Amino acid sequence: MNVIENKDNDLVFELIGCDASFANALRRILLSEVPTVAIENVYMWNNTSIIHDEVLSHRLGLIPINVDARLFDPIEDGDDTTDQNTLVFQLQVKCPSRRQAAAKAKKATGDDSALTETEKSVLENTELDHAAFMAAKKEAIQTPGRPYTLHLYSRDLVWVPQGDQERRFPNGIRPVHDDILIAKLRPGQEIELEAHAMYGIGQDHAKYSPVATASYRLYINVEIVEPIYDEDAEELAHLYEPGVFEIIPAGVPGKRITVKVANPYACTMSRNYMRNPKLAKAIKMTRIPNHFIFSVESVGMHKPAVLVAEALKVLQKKCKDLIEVTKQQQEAF
Amino acid sequence: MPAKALGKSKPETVFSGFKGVTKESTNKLFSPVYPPRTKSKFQLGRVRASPYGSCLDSIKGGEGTVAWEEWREENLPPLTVPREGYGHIYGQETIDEVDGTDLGDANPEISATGDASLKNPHDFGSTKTPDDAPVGSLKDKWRLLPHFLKMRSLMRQHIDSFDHFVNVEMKQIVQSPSAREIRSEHDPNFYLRYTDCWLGEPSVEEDSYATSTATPFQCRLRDCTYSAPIYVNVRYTRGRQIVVKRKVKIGQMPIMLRSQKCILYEKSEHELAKLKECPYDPGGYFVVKGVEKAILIQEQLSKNRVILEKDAKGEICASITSSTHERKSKAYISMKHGRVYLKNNTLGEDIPIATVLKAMGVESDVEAVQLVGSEPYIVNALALSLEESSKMGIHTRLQALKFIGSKIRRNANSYRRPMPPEDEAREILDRVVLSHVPVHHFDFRAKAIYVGHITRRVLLVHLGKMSLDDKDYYGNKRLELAGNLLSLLFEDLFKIFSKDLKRQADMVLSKPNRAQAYDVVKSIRPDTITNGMIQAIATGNWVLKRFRMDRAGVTQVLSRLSYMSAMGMMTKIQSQFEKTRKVSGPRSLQASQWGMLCPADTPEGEACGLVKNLALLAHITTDEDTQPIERLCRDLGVEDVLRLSGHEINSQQAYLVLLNGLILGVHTRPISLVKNLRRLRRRGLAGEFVSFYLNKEQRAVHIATDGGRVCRPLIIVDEKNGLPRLKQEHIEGLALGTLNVRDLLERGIVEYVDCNEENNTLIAVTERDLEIARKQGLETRKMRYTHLEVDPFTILGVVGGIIPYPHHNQAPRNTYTVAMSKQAMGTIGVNEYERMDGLIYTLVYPQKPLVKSRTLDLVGFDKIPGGHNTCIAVMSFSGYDIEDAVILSKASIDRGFGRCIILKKHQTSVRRYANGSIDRTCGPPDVSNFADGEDDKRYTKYKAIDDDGICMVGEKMEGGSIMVNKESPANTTGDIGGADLGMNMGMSSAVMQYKPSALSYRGQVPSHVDKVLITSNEHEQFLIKVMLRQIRRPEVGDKFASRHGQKGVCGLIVPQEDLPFNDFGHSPDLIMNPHGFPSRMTVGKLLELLVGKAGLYEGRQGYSSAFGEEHGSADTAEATAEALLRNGLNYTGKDTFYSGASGEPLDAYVFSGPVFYQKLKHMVLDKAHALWSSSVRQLVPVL
Repeated sequence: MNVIENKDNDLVFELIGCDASFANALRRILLSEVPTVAIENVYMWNNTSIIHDEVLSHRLGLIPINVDARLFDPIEDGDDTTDQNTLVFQLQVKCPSRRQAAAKAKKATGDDSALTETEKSVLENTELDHAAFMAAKKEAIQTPGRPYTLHLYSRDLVWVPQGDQERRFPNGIRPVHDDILIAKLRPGQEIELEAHAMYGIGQDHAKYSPVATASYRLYINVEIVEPIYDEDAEELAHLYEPGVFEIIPAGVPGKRITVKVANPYACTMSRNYMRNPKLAKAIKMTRIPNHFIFSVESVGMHKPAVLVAEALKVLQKKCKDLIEVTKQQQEAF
Repeated sequence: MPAKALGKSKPETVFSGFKGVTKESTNKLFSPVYPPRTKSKFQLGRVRASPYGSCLDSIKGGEGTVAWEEWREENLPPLTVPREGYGHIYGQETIDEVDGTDLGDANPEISATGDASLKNPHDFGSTKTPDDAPVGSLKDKWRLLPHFLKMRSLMRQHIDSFDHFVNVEMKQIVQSPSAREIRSEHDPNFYLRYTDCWLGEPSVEEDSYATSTATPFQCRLRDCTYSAPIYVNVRYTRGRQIVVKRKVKIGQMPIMLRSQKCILYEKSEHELAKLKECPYDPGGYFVVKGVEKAILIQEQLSKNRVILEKDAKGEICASITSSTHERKSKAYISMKHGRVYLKNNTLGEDIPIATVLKAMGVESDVEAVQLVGSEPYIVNALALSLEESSKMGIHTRLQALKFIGSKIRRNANSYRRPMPPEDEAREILDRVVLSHVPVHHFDFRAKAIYVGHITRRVLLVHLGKMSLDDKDYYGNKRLELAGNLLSLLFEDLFKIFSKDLKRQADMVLSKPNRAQAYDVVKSIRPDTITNGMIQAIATGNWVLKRFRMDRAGVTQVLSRLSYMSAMGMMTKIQSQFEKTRKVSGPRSLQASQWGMLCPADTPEGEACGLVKNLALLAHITTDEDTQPIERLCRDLGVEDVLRLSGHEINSQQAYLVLLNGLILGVHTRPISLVKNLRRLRRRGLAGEFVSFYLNKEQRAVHIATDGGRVCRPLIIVDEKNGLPRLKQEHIEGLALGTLNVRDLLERGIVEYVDCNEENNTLIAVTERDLEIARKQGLETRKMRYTHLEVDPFTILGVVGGIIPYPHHNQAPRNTYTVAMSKQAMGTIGVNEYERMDGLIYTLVYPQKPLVKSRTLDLVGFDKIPGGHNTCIAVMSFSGYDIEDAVILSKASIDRGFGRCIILKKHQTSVRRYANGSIDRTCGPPDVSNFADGEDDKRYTKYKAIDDDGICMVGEKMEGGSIMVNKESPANTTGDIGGADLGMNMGMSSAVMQYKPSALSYRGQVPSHVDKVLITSNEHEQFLIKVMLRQIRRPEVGDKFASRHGQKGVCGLIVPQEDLPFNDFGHSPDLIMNPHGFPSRMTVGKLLELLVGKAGLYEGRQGYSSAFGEEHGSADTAEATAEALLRNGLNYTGKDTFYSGASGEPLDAYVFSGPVFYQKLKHMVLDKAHALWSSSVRQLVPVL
């Protein structure tokens, strides 16, 4: 194993010498069996927006929530919701009327004196996320004639700690990304809901999948069988397989430009070089069947490395279970 | 690759076929693992998109021609080629390269941040091309289209014709001599005269007293008719006084949406939004009783024209359908045993033509022969006919008339007092036979000449000197639009209305002693016209007694399944032929339909070829005044036919000039006449839709101003230099708004040409055709190009225009696509959630297609799309994909693929009955009455309703749930004890007996209440509409289709981990079986996939307009392959895939990429019907 790249949410590593079935098991588990927490039940108290209840719930469900699923109990049908298996979020937004918006704008500029009595009372009665409001206002100002619209983002979801959750999650719980657009509201429209997030796996619904994608490809062995010169070399290095080959310049006059394999990792097996019959003969590309370049792209609740570890744990558990079952069977006979 | 390209800082383009590549530098790119996915640092592949396609090869192959490119290099300025690379293909609006000079788009980043004004998609044209350049830069011509369509919007034909009806025809009908006045037989002094007629503002009658202005949306919701009052000014006698009354309402006229009388006329998007109207809605339909009704375009044979054909016996026969406001009649002049006869329904037997001519005052045989033609062969052919009548002893006019009079078919129950046969014959010749030829005071000269002319043509055909007419030729067809049909209906109703009024007046006036002076206006009942109009449009039955017309299915409910289906409906043309007839002629595509009708858009099966659709730029004319044209002709030297002898008319030196089928005169220099007339039209001095057509075979100039002709705009090619008159400056002028299409028409740059005039043109399809012609020299060709096509993709219609690369598909596939796109779910309009239609299907996440066409931009399909860009892999998988089934990814569905909303209307009304009793709605019954309280099974059905008995928004509806808990009185007819009981319902309810008549939900799948509307209209006291909503995710059995006639049901839904994945880890959303390709030959789909894939990596939408490759309106396969190559992908679009189950790489490469897929309305959920419990009846004895 050999880590090639380890960024925030991306992990690329080499897996050499193992079987395709093992790599594939790892991939499949990453996709579908490593648990996460996502919104499962939405209790709609009020929704006067253009977005239908079902669509809104679906959108909420797809918002990744930045929480460690290992701290939660799985929930089965019929189980009661407890603080051990459920996170509660609330969303309570109302798009203010134009007048309310104006009042708020005045307040934002610190010009309280200009507020009328009604505007002041209006202002006190609106609970609006200030940043969202300012953003909406800015947009409204920048595009004259455009009706005022309030954008509702994932950051507007408010976590309501249940039981000892406040102690367990002292830093609070938020969605992974703050700027996922949930809905747009027109003045007077209102969304009021309670969303329950629960433990689940990608097998049940794609929203539980902890990875954007996890996959692998096979390493490609690139060989130059016949020497390649000049134009062909240029064409190969720049057009057909950028990054794979390196030009060896003709140092001495009279000598020809040639090419060498520099980075076979960059090869995409696009096979475009085969369009040039000379190159098609000169190059040999082969996949190495037990050399995997594995890439894991996390959605963001865990580091990809953690996900791989988790996936391996799941795999381990599966194996253990299997051993257990076979043992039992053996004993039974 | 030339070595000199190396090391240069500025890219240089080398044209060496596909492999031509330039490089900026040799600096290496090192990407650690993955190759660059977005943009390579190299300035690679500036390959010509289309260095003049393959058409040229055929010319090159011609005998002895120099390769024409070489020729052009020597003789012409450098060609303006579409900008190299992909920008022009991907719809980049700037023009950076003209005449081979690079104007600086070497670096896309620069142009992206460059002049923003040029980036504006509404900025058509550029300032970089010289002003006087012909629009040779090929790609710019299409920029005309938005302007044409702006001038006439998309569904302009309906609206134009309705406006014409309202502004012109309606007034004419009311003012026509036969209808203008009502007189009474009982009082000679009495009269009522209509002096004017017009429409008021659209309004709705609330009750007998109040009216309010109506908006179309209101009418849809309230089940009202969107109509405006018809007012007349009248002048009549009241006793001895003459009274003038203005603004007397005689009825309500349904108003076509977006017509001049509609309140939506010329409203801005913002104003439309306030009226809850969709800005993309084309209008052109009516709202009658809350239902949107479109009057389909009707196709029929043209009226008042001679058509020569073979009759059932194989004899030559000229048929003329005359149509005037007063009468419609049909006459035949046919050959029988070598003689010519006239045939008409009123005449019991065929009349020899010589007798007819004699009856019309042509007594001398010499004159008769001259009218037909004095050429020896004609005289010979006519001899038999002449002989026949003289044998019968008919020599004088009177004898002829008497003879005809004796043959008149008499109506057995005719009340008319008998006239002498000769008078009757004269009457019939005047009014019935060829009634469109005007006869003043029994001066039959014009008609005799007309009969002579037809006879001549019949004889010529008989002698084989002229050919028969083709009935299917589109120049012989006229299209009847909403305006024409309404005009017929209105005329009929207005006459009935007047007759009723007259009867009433007669009744009153017949009474000898009246105390009060009779005021006729008081007995005007507007209902006749109002109800007649509404009934006709609502049912589609056009019953006109006068013309014995009884047509059903004239109107259809506007299909609002998707935006495309609504658009398709508005361009639909219905043919008058019976569908059962097994003739292929009317059904097959006729060459003259080019550019007028969409070749792809026709249904399959029964109505195939009979129902057609207009092409994108086709225009249907409205009736125009003939007087100015007539004068124009006279001024240009057309000699009046009435002053000429038959010999002169048929002389070899003269051409006949026919105006709308009537002989106007003769002209000796027809070519210059036509040229001059056209010149006048091109200056805007004659109507732009008037057609001038020189028919050499008939030796006639046909001028047509009548309505219903299909025509289309073409760019005029200058005869002197063979260059199109449309120049760069015009395009720019249009873009800047300093010019409009009308200016272009008046400057003779473009013109409208109808089917007949097209016969006098030679139309270049592309610029290239013109180039070749110029190269070959103007003189060498017999016929020069006269016109240039605006853009070849305009031969397709609105719906056909959404197909990507239709010219690469097998033709029937395009037809299937068009039929299927009308069933696709998507956005139906931006007001879709406000509407309360019977059934609305919409997608939750519609996407605009990755590969689009110019038509798509023009109709706004990008703004309200219907479908998803689906990543497909063409491979077989699991065996559940046979027979066109497709496999869907569960993860994609989880994320919203194919999710759709179904909104269904449920409606009930709360009525007041004749005896005064009223329906009522009641809240749920008291819970305490149920044994189990709230959870009681019998109580659950009341859960959704509120105290007012109507369901609450957001509530879940399950089978049996009550939406409106309505109760009706048990006794609705009899006496309910006291007339006032009905008035105070509350008090008497204890006495009243009610029976439940709740509106409940039936359906196996639960729905949610989306919207509730309580309203009223003139018929119902209260109208309660409930919209129920269902959101469905795709399931096995749901139908999906791409835009290439490739439909399939979902065969299996596979979890993502089981699906194959490629090197990048992408797994497909949909797997399609490769067997779908070979037999269907939908190459367009392959191209769409390829272009879509390139578009994905380049971050742009691809273009794929029909025949667009050389116009910069479609991406070429070569350019696309180059783009794929640049992004490190295989240039054929095939990727390596790994099995999701085993993890091993698949043995074959898989063709994969994005394709626009539509979800069709056919879903298993609606198809699955099962009965799981029902009463069981014993039919056979149990043994």
